[in-house]
Amino acid sequence: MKNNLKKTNDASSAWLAQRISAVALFPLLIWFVYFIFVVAEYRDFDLVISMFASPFIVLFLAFFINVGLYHGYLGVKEIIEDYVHCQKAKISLILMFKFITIISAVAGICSILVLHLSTFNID
Amino acid sequence: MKNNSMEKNRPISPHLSVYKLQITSGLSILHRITGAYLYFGLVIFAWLIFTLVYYPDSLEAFIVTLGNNIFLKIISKLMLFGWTFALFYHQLNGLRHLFWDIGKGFDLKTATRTGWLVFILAIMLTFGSWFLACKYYSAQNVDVIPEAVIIEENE
Repeated sequence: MKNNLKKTNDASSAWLAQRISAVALFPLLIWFVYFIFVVAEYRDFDLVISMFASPFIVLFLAFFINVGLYHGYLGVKEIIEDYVHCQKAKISLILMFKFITIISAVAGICSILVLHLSTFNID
Repeated sequence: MKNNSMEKNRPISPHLSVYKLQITSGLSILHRITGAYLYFGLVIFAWLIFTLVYYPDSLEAFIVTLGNNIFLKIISKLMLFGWTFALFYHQLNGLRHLFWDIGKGFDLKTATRTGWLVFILAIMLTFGSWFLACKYYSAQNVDVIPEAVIIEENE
């Protein structure tokens, strides 16, 4: 009984986290479309990198990638829980996607930070 | 808790095979598919930035390869087009889902109507954004000075 209660609690908090990240993603996605348009205009890596001098772009992009990946992970987990019925496959698939999510988020954040730092003038 | 076999063999939702595909259920499935595809794209995007930082030469070579091979070019453009549609569709339909969560727009007529609205709007936004992007791309070749160049010159 206690275990069941804990399970429902986990599920409802995942539900809530999904909605909250969705609300956060709504304005971020609009900004992201605008960002891609600007990037598409600069057909040169150096120009794209020079955009990362702005702290707002760095913050927005980092936030977008992280919240997006988190929201995506929750969604993929839900899909797996619905369609994969073998317990072992389910758990290992979810674990795999958790790993992919975390490592992608870390890679994204670190790269954005490096890009931001590379635009500083050190001399 | 005692009757374990009954618990194991009970029917499991979603019972996809017993339903006829309707606009509402079809869009609901599309929401999941686009969501999974967006996740896949976002992972690629994160690693693309990673490559831009640590292996810019490889990224440049990759882009050149994409541009030269007609097959790869079409495939990548199609995937990107699909991602754009997924982005707009998932965002608009997500808004619909959020409205359902606060208990609005539940009746069948409204749900069907907003469903069509969302679907058509997403297609229009997709084509519109690609049209704009192509315009940017062709205008670039003529005479557009990017902002960053102006800033650098001012400094």
